[in-house]
Amino acid sequence: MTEAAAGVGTIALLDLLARDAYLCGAEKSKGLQGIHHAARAKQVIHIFLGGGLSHIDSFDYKPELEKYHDKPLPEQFGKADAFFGKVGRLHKAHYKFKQRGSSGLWVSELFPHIAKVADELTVIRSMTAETANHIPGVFQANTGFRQMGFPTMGAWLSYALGTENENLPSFVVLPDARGIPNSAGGAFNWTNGFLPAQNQGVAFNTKGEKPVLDLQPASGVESEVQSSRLHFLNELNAIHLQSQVETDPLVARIRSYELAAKMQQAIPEAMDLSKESQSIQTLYGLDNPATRDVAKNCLAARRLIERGVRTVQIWTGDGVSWDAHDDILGSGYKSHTGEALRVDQPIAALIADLKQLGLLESTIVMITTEFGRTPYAQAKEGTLSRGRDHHPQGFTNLLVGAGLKAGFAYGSTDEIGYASIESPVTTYDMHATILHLLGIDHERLTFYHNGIQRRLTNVHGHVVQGVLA
Amino acid sequence: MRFAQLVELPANPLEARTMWRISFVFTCLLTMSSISVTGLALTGLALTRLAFGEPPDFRKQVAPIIAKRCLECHSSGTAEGGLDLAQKTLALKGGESGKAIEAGDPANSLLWQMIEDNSMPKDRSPLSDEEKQTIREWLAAGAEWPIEVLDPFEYSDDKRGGYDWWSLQPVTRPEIPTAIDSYHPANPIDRFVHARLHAVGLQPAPTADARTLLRRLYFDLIGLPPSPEEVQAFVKDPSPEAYSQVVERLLNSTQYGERWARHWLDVVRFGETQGYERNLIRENAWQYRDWVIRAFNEDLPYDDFVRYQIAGDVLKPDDFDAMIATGYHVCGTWDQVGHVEGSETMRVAARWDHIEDLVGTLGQGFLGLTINCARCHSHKFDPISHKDYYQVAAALAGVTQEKDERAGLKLKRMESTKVVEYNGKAHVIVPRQPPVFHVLARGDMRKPLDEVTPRGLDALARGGLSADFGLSKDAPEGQRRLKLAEWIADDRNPLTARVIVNRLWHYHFGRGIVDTPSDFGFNGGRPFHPELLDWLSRELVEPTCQTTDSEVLRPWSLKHIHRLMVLSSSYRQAALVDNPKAIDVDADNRLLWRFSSRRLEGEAVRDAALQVAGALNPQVGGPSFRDMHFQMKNNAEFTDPTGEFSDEVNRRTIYRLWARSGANPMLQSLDCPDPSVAAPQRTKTITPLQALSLLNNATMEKCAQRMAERLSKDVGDEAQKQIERAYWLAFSRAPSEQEIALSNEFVKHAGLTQFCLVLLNTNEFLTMN
Repeated sequence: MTEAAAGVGTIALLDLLARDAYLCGAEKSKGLQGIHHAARAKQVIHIFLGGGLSHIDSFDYKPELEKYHDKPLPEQFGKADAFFGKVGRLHKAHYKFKQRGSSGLWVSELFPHIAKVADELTVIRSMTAETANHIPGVFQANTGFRQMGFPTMGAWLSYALGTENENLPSFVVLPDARGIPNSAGGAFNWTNGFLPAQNQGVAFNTKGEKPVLDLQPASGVESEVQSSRLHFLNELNAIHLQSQVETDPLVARIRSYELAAKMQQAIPEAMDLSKESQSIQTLYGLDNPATRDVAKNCLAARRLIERGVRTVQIWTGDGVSWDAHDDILGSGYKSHTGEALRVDQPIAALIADLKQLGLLESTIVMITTEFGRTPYAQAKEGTLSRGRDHHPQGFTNLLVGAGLKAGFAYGSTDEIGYASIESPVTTYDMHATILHLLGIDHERLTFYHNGIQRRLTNVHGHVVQGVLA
Repeated sequence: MRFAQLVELPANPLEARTMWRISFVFTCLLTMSSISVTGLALTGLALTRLAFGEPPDFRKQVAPIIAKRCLECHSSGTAEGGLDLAQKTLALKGGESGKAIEAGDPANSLLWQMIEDNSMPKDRSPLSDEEKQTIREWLAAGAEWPIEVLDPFEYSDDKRGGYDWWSLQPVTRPEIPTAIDSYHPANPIDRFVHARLHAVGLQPAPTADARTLLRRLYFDLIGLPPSPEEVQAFVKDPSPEAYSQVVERLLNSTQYGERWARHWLDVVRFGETQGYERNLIRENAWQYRDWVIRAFNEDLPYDDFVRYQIAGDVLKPDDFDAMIATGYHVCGTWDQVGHVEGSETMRVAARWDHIEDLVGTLGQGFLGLTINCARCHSHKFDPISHKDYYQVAAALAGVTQEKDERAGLKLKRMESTKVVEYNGKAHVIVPRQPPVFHVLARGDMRKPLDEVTPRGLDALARGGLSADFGLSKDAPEGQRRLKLAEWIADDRNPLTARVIVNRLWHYHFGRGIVDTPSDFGFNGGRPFHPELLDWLSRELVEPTCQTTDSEVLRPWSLKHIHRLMVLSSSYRQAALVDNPKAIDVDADNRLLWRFSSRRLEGEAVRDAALQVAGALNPQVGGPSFRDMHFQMKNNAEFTDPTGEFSDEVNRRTIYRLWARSGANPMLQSLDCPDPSVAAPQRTKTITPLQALSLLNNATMEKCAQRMAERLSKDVGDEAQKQIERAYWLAFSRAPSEQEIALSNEFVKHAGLTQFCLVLLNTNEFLTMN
């Protein structure tokens, strides 16, 4: 038995090694095959609202909180462990809630555009996190671990499924035009960790002209010279190949330069938004200064998904811009009103656009945050303010797309939105569910590192069956 | 089991595939035979016993079955169904379902009933007929139980390692196999390697040609290519000592330390910023990096290398070097928001996460054990209990870190021959007396169980090394680390020497004798040549084998082990040999029938490009250079590379500010690891992004430009001479006529700079053969 398995395995392995072990850009999986079971989706767009979106001001409607407004936290909720230690009075939602679409999902006036696509949303209102600290929370939302340096979900998906288009990276990250989200741990949120380097997220420069560093020569070499040097390099490598016994790495190197040349064409083409019609540009909000930054990234994400990128991650803000300690209602940076103004229309447009193109049949859009915000004000005891502190006990994430129940709310927090009480969902569960939809068993997608077969879901996680269509 | 586990890996990933293949070769060649031998022996034993009617021996036959098959669920702590089979009195008492053992009456013993119909072990494979027979006979014969407590960790089985795990056994010096003269062994390493090759009918490869060998040695020992003049001199030198003289020269050069310190910094995940949200720069963290370089260059005995890093400040309180060595404890990530700025709960939580990281780094780095896996429960695969974790944690409990570097230090350091005072700051341990530690139920800080004392691991005690530090639960902080250091550096520790010797092998030969350098536990690899590993481990601690007439043997000298390895004929073999038979038997070259080629690490690529360009600034040590744009707001923020090309930044890559979140994209594409988790092995990928970096990156372009200028300076303006010189610089050889012709044509068309850039992108430049 062992011998037979080993024999077959060895032949397959040699074959695989020869074909693609070194060819890191090579295609691995097409379509909806999955690797452990049939997949419902094949691509993911992850929109991250870093800093902590207030669930009770957006998607988790708590009418009871009106009654408790300006009252202290009732005793049954225990002693609050506020991150900054200031437990003020309970504060009702800062925005009015309405039921939307035919599904009747509650969405507040914070997101008037997203409200219009409510019937596409799967709202998970019972999220819980393990920490009230941004960075460990953001890391966990992206890697499953609070510590830094573990592979991110996009890297795992690249490792497991490869890319559908070898001319583009399999995992693309679109930081906000405000810059790399350094306040949220920067590149650690798209690191390959200990997975092979080809799985790292490639952060495109969304500010300037060049989408990828080193995509073109630093000093600007003419394209004719570029192709002749590639030709010359191939000739030298081919001569070297004659003297080699072990040819795989060399063949892989030659191939990597061919792919690099294709990438030089494919990336600018994918990122050229001027190819889109005026009506599409307007739909996303490209012509409005308030929405332009996020609109560009959302539209670029759709183009990248169309071209076969496995995972696109969009950062809104600098990684902590939803961190409304002082004033949810204010305007501009770190107020919910200000941040929502930037993202609401583009995200809604992306969902509607994916839907009309049929891409929502095979794509999942995740709209997540690392934790929610306290139902009480961040203020001196006995007083109110318009700020709220970090709150991991209960919050909301959104999923949209393939294989999910649309226009559906799952789980719930208690009457004031303090803690998840019905069907709590952890980050591990969230990741397990996404992997499941992509045809991957989260317990069987492993990589050996320092003594452990590591998983995206550590030793936890259950597929949230209740959200599956 | 190993197969089942590996087969379940996804079908495509590269690493899984490689591991699988190793284990295949390995199993076929070694393990299969030993399994069948054991099987026969057991059968023989059973027959003998039946023939003579002796009851089974509890210690030798019954206890192993109970330990392996029952105690996972039925021992103190877990005791499912109230049944504890680890303790004699409780075992005989029974559990919730009643008495489990009826002496002399198997039929009425629940234990027998449960195993007979395979109800137990629950959700596990049933006992074999032989195992059942043993238990039945033992019950029938009166169920004698002569041991008070059975240790569930005593025996390895197919799911986990016990105290009998290979790496935990005392290191003994195996006999060196007989030399096979026709294989030309140079030293005992070869005799071990050759014996295995011979056993499967393989021959070693011939010695590599002089040029290849010299390039290999240079990249391996100092991380830089030889100059054309050095190659030419070596190729011309016919003396048999020429090679060992180069080895000696390189081992005594400062660049040796610059190369090998980088390997250790990977193991201890050295970084010069905090990581997490604030990510502040540690202005003096480079002092520890320099200490590691000096330690390698001065061949600090490895046991002292261990002692100083763990407890240098306790051992020599006034000594600069000993204090700087403790930078080891504080070179990992540290969450300032969690430790300082958050609520009380957050701070305690951050502290416990930090301690796990400290225990993990210590265990994996020095011992090849993942002690950190026992934070929430006993280790799933190795004989490390939940309590063990907290005992080791208690030994490290005084290690703390602060927002600012430690100030007000008054230390003494040697400068050439005189002692000078060092007054100032350093990024070193801030020791603090900790509270008494408890075991925490499921790792939950709100659920303390028993108090613990600082202590080592019983699993390492078989060679006489006691795990008992003789310390009380509130022992002074410094004493704890001192005892811990002594315990690790003890000659009898079975892992310390094995782990470091294997690391050296890993870097010299491309893959360790154990292919998981930081994990010698059940989940790690098995040694492909256990006797060789043990011989080298003893040789480190108790050297006997002089490599050259002038070598002075000293215990724990890493340079001695380097010499043995690089002077062996196994190391000097050619890489480019066609041996179809060997590929059939051992495609992965585990048995070393040739040298394994490999891509250079990112540091070596950058350093070599600078050197070939004549732009490398050889300045040794000191504050790190910064090649990324950096700004300080609420947090330290690193953005794009500066692309600066000056003496200041054109130093060896080890001197780069190793900032978390501040990776240089070119180095990252060449697999330079993220300094947040340990990287005992680096991946070696070949990707389109790497190609784009190497072709288009500003540093590479400037190297090419400088190289072109250098060519003119070196040999004038004649194209052919420039091409020849460039080949010698980049590849240590002359170009062929075909290469000259192609190069000439390209230079005419695209210019010398582009020509140089292409050379720096060739596979030949990026590969060590």
